[in-house]
Amino acid sequence: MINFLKRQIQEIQHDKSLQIYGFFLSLTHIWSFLYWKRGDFFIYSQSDLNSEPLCFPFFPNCDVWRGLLSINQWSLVLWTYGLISLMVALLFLSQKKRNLAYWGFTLITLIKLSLHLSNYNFMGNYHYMIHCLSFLFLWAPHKKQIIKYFLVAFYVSAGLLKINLDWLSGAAMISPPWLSGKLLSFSLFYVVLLELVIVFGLLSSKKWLRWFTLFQLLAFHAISWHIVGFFYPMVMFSLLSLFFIDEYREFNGKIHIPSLGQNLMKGRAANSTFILLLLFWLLQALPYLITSDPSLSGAARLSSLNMFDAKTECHPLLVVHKETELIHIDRPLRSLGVRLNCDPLVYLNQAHKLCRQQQASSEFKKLSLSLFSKRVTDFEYTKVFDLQDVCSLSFPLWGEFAKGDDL
Amino acid sequence: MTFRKTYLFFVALTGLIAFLTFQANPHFYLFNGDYDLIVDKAYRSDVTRFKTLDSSCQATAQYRYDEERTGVAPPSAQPKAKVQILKKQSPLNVDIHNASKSSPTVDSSGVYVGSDSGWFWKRDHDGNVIWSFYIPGSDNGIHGSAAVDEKKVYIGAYNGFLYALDKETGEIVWANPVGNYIGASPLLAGGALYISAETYHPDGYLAKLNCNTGETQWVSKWFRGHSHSSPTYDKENGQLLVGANSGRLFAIDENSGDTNWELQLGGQVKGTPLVWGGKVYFSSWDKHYHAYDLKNGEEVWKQYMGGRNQTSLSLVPGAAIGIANTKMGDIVGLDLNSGEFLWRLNHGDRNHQFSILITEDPQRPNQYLAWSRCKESQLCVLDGKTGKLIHNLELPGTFTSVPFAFKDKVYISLDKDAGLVILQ
Repeated sequence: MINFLKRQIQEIQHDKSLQIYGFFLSLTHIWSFLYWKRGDFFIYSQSDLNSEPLCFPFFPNCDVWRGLLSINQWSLVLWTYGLISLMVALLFLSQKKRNLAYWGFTLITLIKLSLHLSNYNFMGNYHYMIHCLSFLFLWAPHKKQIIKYFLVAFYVSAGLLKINLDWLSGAAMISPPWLSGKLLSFSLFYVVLLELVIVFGLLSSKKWLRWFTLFQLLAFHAISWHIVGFFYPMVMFSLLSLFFIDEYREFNGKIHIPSLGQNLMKGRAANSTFILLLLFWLLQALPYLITSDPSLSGAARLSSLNMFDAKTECHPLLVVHKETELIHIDRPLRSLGVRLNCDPLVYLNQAHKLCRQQQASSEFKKLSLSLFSKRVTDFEYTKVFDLQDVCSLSFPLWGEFAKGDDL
Repeated sequence: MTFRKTYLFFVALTGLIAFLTFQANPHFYLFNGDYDLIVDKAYRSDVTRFKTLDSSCQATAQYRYDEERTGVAPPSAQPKAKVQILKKQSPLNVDIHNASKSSPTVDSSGVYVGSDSGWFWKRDHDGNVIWSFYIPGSDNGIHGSAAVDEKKVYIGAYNGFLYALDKETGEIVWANPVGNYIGASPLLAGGALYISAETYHPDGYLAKLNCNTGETQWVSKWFRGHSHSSPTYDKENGQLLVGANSGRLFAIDENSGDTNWELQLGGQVKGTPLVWGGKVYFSSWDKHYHAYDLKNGEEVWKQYMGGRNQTSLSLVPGAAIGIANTKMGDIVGLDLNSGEFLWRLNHGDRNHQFSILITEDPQRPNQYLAWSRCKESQLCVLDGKTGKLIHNLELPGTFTSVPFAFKDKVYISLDKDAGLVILQ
């Protein structure tokens, strides 16, 4: 184990590009800090101001644990994370403290992972990608190659999710774009082309093609800023920086950039690279193996990226059955994020919390929950699940996989 | 792979992606909120079933009593004209929204009434609560009235769900999120259940459901506006009549959900149409009452009502008279054949939201009483044929719901927090 970790540190120490990339990866944690800090999103989500549990299914009582810290203590946790991230970023630029930078980066990665997993409100592709590349940076061999392959894989995965009416008609947009009419139609198609075809230019041996692709991607993220806000573009700029660092170093004659595309096609990449890429694609395919439409699912899509594939509409039906009274419980938060608005996990969490509260009442008989959802461009609602007695389930947050009790 | 092969591979990949994207969006539609208008196809929802409770789907009571929405109570309901307040049960509404409130529906099993607070109750005939159901999800609660058959009660709410409940226990039988809002009352007719549904954008449609399973059997095309109008059944022509805020009135085939004919009026059609004598009668915000031929949708007459109108015409049996309120502060009797005014009673209340109950006068066989709000918080009882005022009674509050008669009692859901009054 120790030798394994030493090898990881040595790989970073022996590659100037990776050292600089460590700085940019640390910046993604600073962007995370700023994103969570903005509008007190993190404090609200973690503290008892947030009355909804919003837990990952493998951590079903996270809200109880979150409640152990006060608002001020959560604020302190966030600031500590932000400050450590800043220090780690600076350590990567230092010539002498590279070991410490590696361990510091391990620490902020683990802090972010812990915070992320403590609250389902923090789900999102940006965190998924940061975690993936952080793990590869810390623990994967042939770091530079595998990170570049993964970056291309992120785009390809996102592009595949966009070949549908929701993206191509603009229905998936979370806010109105600058463009409209035919120009918007063409742009939406071009993004698909960019992510599925042009992006492979990053792996080309031809310098002009790599630069062309990089600028296309930068332009795409810059233009998306007015729709998605600062965080997503800043994360992508930071993650893509590895390509720029290598281009700069090649320009200065320090390195020669190999044709990663040819290496992959001709089987010249390391076995570990193939295994990790295979694992990535298996994780992306998993939701399609267990559910008919991952964009309407919650737990089923945890393993994969879920880009702007669809905006959804839904009707949750959560009913408390008492002796002489029925109460249809309202949906929890009006201001949930676009991806959470119809996420089954939100409603399963709400039901799980109600089960804890209601079971002490002698009037309480059972709690039923069903969820009907559709993509905004669909015309039929799909019943995502139908649970007649949520409180009797052993693992309620995995309820979308439970067998329905429909008559 | 040589450069040429690589080049060809990516050109082919581009072609494949162009093909797939064209398949996904063949007409390069852009979603702009009117997308569903382009495709002219309304939402279709799914149902959650909680228990099996099959019934005949024949109404024992519903909004305006019958499938034709005549507003005429059955012969078993004959309250005397000079009623007094027997009981008052509070609270009921909280007056969140100024639309007409949910009217009570009463049969031999009890009183079913909703509230704009979201509560729906079964009460005994004296108004005592037997069971209750809370429906959240909007600020408007329940504004429609229940439809009841021998085993189940059906109620729609502003959270978009239509519910079937077990009359005896209050247990939920099924729930179907038919739309984003439901403000209208369901209709039990021809062995099926119909409801007007509304969506956010705003739009609306009519849905037909199996009353036992709750499954959606069809949805009509879009109405181009919300539908606050409750549907009415035209048995002879096998069609449903329903209005929309787009100023349209639709005649919809009961088997297919296709539109047989539609009209475009000059104002919103919010009231519930009356079907009688081969014609449909309805009010509009275009300030008129209209009569159209049910077979072909051709105009028979229209009558100026002095202002916006969203009431429903109530029938005086055996006399071809329809009674309604006007924006001018009148209760009027209209000749259903010509549209001419037969009589007019001015009470000065210019509200145009409330409709009239018709009951047979227990003291004068085959003569009918018209029960209406007048002067805000007063109930007026008129002679249906002549419009002569027989009785008026001060109530504890105003009302926009329709009174419901059962046996010798009349039930009225009052606005704000004035509660449910029982008159006898």
